Amino acid sequence: MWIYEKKLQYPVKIKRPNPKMAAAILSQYGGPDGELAASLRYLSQRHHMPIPEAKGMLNDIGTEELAHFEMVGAMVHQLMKGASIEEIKAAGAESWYTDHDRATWPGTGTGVPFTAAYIMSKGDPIADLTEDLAAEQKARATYEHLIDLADDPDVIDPLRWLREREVVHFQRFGEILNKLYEWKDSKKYY
Amino acid sequence: MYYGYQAGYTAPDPRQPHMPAQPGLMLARAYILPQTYTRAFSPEEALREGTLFPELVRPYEKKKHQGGWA
Amino acid sequence: MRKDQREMILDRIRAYEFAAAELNLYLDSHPGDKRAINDFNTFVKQIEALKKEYERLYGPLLNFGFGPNADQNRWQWIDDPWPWESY
Repeated sequence: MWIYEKKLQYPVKIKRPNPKMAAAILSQYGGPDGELAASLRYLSQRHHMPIPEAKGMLNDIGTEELAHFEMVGAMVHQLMKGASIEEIKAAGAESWYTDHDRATWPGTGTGVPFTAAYIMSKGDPIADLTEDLAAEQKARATYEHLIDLADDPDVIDPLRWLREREVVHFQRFGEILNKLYEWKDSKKYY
Repeated sequence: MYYGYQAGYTAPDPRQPHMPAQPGLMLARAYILPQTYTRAFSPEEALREGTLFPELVRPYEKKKHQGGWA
Repeated sequence: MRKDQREMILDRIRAYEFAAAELNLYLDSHPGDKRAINDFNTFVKQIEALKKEYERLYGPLLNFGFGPNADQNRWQWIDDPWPWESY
């Protein structure tokens, strides 16, 4: 089960509102390669895994992704909080404001809602872990795109941190894929 | 016409793997090198870097100019 | 002043919990690594001490019974700031 620790895994302290940046960063909240997609993918795949290492890793990285989902939500919230109507209009964020005021919602900045179509749980451990490797690369690339777009150091810092986590997760899933090959190969001898 | 053909030369078979097969490794598989835990940052340093392990640090150079991958 | 002290303890908890989480993930794929297990347990002890200190002063860090409410007169869990507001 999950309980909540009342802290962010890494601090988010953004002082200047920026609705345009909020819309971009929202992709890592409810978009195709974002933290919610990652978390649900891993937490769903973990049930069908044949070895404890895979169950543990998917459980634990799936949990960590929820902490990152929280961080991205905090970034979007802080980038919208205190934005004036003029700033919202200047950012072209009228549509968002109409539907959400300055609130956070799991989708992209262009209003595309989150969907399970972003993830797969194939029931084939090799396919699942290979998808997970791809997911971490896509997330890493998305954070790089966001870093390219950002100017505010208070925004770049948590983005950089979240990007580095994707690099580490890729390594961890790679090790689990190796273990699943060993499992698959050892099954031939039963 | 001269194509650089030398008597006794056999072109490499393109179906053979480019490097000799490693023991235990197979074609059509994606392998990631396993990490061995040797060094760690201090917890404070680790939190700043985004990882406990110095060998997993991969900094990103922000792209300022137009154009693709490079 | 009180806020700075809270920030300082929370930042130390953040650092040690992160180090432990990193070793947790490493151990999920290297379950036989004795040195990693030993370092993980060292971090756990540190985290327990830091959390005890934090909770004594500021109330529970985790909900649902995973930490005590130190104030006899008031439910501290709901107190501001929440993490998305400052950190």
